[in-house]
Amino acid sequence: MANSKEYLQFDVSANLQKLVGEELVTNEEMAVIELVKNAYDSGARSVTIAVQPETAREPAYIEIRDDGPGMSLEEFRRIFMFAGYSERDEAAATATRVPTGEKGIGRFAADRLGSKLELTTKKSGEVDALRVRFNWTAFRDKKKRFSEIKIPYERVRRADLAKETSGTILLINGLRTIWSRAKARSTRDSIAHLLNPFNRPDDFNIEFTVAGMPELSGPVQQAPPENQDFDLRFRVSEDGKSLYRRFSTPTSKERDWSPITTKANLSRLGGLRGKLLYYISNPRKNAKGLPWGIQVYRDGFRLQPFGSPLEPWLRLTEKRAKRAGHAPLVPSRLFGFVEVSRLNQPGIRDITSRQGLMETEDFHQMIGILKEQTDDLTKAILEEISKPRWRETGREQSINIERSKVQTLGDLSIGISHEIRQPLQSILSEAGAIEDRLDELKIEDPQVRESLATIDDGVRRIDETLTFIQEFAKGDLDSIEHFDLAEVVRKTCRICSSQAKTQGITVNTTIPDSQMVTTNKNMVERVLINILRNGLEAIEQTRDYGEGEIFVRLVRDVTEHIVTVTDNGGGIPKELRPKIFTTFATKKTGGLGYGLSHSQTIIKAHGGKIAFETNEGKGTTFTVHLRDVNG
Amino acid sequence: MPACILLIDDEENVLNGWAKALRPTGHKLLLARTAKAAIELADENPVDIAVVDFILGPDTGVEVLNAIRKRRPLIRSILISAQIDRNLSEESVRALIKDKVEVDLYLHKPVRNKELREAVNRLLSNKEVDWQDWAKKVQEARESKPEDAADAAGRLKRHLKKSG
Repeated sequence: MANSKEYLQFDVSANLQKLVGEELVTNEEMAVIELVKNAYDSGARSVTIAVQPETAREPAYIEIRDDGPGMSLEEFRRIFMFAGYSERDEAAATATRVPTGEKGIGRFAADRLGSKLELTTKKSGEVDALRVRFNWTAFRDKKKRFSEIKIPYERVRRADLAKETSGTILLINGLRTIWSRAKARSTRDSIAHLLNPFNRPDDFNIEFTVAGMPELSGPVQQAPPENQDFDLRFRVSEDGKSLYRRFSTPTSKERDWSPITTKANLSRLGGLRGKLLYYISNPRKNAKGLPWGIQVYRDGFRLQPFGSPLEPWLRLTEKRAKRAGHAPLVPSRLFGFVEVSRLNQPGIRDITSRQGLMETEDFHQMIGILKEQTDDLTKAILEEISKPRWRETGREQSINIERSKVQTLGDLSIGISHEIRQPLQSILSEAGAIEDRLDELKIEDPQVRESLATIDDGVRRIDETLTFIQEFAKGDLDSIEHFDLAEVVRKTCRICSSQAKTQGITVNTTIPDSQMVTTNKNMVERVLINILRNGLEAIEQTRDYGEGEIFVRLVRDVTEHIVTVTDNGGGIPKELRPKIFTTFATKKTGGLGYGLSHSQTIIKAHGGKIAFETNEGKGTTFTVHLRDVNG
Repeated sequence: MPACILLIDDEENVLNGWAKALRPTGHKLLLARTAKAAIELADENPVDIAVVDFILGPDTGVEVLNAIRKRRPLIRSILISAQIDRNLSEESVRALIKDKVEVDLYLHKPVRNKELREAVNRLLSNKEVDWQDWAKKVQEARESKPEDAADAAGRLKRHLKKSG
C-alpha cells in the first residue's frame, strides 16, 4: 500500500561536478569560451584572458578578468553555488543583452582548465572583494554528496579592485595541460571566431595575452571575409511568414531583396538571417583566416559545433565526393554566416560536448532553408563556371600551375627565412662570444680558431642560400609593368660585365634602342642575371683567361620577345640535358642547381618559356621567350 | 664614458647573443622583448642607441623606433632584419625607414659580434655632432614639408660626413 505521507528524494554525488565540468566541456578552448560567455552575460564590457605558461620561476596559470558588476556574497550563494541554475532564462526577455548561456554550468568550465580556481569578485561601491577558493579535487569523491563539499571564502582588499570598480577575476591554477604556442594560437583563433565578424557586439572587447608570446597577445579581432565571387543573402521576415533573398554572382548583381519560395516551415524562424559567400578559386587572404563552412551565430556568438569543418552537419563534403573531379561547390571555398536569436529561435542552441547537435524542430527547419540555398548556390556556380571565360585553355592551365609553384615557394621562404635566421643569429653570437672570451683570456688556440671559422663559414653559406631562394621567390607575380626590355637587357649586361672583366671574358650585344614589353620587370631581370651568370661560370670552368665570349641578342617575333645568351663554355653534358630545368640538377660545386629550374617556373608563370641548345666542348645558347601578358 | 644601449628582439636567445656581443664594450645594456618593455626602458633611461629587430611580434621595429624617438628624439639606432616578407627587400626596408624614422644603420640578420660592435662604435664616434642642430632641422622639415622629412636622413649623413 502506498503511503502518500512518505517521500523519497534524490541527492547528487559530488562527482556530478566532474561529469559536468570536465566531461561536458569538450576541450580547453571550449572551456575558455564558456568563461568568456559568462563574462559577457554578466554584463561585462571587456574581458581579458591572460595565459602564463610554465617557466623555471613560475608555475603556469590562467587569469580571466572581467569588468562586469561582480557578485555579493548573497548573490554568489544564490546563483553561483546552485549548480544547473541560471537566472538568465528569466532575464533573457528584458536584458539589453540577450544572454548566451542558459544551462547554468558554464562556471564549471574552469575545472576543465585547471584543478584549482580562485575566484575574486566585487560589486561597485563595496570596499572588500569576495574571494572563494575551489579545489575541484574535493569533488572527485563519489561517495560524498554535492552539498557536503565545503568551499572556503574570505573577504580581501585588492588594489586592482578599487572601491568604485567592479568585476570578477578567475585565477586558475594546476593547469591540466601544457600551454604550448600551438595551443595558445588555436585558442586565440577560437576566441576570434567566437563573434560574428559581420555583426559583432560593439560594447564587448576581448583581450588575450600569453606571457612570452607577444605575437599572440593583444585585443582579439576578426575581420569579415571580402571580395567574394558569389554573395547569397537571405532573411526570414520578423513575422515568420516569408523568405527574402538577394543573390549576386560574378555576372549579375542583385540590388534588391525579392521574396522566394521555400518548403521549410518559417513560423518559428522569424528574423533568421544568413549569408553564403563563395570564392571560385582559393580565397587565401580574402577569407581573413576564418574557418570555412557555415557557422551559426546566436545573438552574435558562434554556436558550437555548427560549421566546424569536421562536423559535416550540412553534408557539404559528401556533395563534393559525389561529383568527384567536377565539384562545383568546394566546401573550403564556402563561408556561411547564419544569425539566429535566442528570443526567436529558442530551439537552436549549442551544446558544450562533442555528442552532436541539438536536433530540435527549429533546427530541422533551418537546415531545410540552408539546403535549399546551398543547392541554388551550387546551381549558380555550375552555370557560372561553364561559361567560356572560366574554361581554362591548356596554356592558361599550365601558367596557373607555374604560378602556384612560385606562390608556394614564396610562402615557404617567408617561414623558412625567419625560422632559420633566428637560430643562425644565436649560433653566430655564441661563436663570437667564444672568440671574445679567448681574446679576453689571451688564449691563442689555432684549433679552436679554425672551428670558429668553420662555424662562421657554415652560417654564412646557409644565410646566402636563404637569400638566394628569397630573391627568386620575392616579388609580386601580379606586378605587371610596361617597360623598355632593351634597357633592362642592357642594364643586366652591364651588371655582369664587371664580373666578366675580371675573368677576361668579352660581352658582345645586339640590342635595339628600344623594345617595349608588358610583363613582370623584376622577374625578367632576375632570370637574365641568372642565365648570364651561368654562362660566365661555364666559361670560367673550361676556358683560359681572355678566351671567353658571351653574346647577348634581343629580337622581336610576331608574338614574342626573344633574348638569346650564347657562351663558348664547355656545353652541357648529355646526361644532364634532360634534367637541366629540374631542381638540384647541377654539376657545379657550391651551387644549388636551383636557378634555371626556378627561372623556367617563373617565366612559364608569365606565359613564356626558356629553351637551350648546347654543343659539348663548344658552348650553350639559352633562349628566353617572353610574351606580353595581355597578348 | 659608457653609453646606454637598448637591445630589442622578441626572442630571448637572440637578445642574449647581442648582449654577449656588446658586453666587452663596457656600455650599459638594456634588454627588451616587447615593444612595450622597450618604450618603458627608453622612458626611464638615457638611451643613446637602440638596436631593433625589424620584426617584433605584432609590431615592426620601425613602429617601435618611432615610439621611442618621440620620447628621445636624439637616439641613434641600428635596425636588424631577417627579411621575413618576400616582398620586402633590404632596399624597400630602407625606403620604409627613410619615410618614417631616421635610422642610422641597417644590418642584416644574422649579424656577427664584431659587426655589431663596429656599428655601435661608428654611431658613438659621431657623438660630437651637433645633434640639437640636426634635430631642429628634422623638425623644420617635418613642419614645413612633411614629405621632405625623409631627406633629413640624407642631410644627417652629409652633416656627419662634414664633421668627420
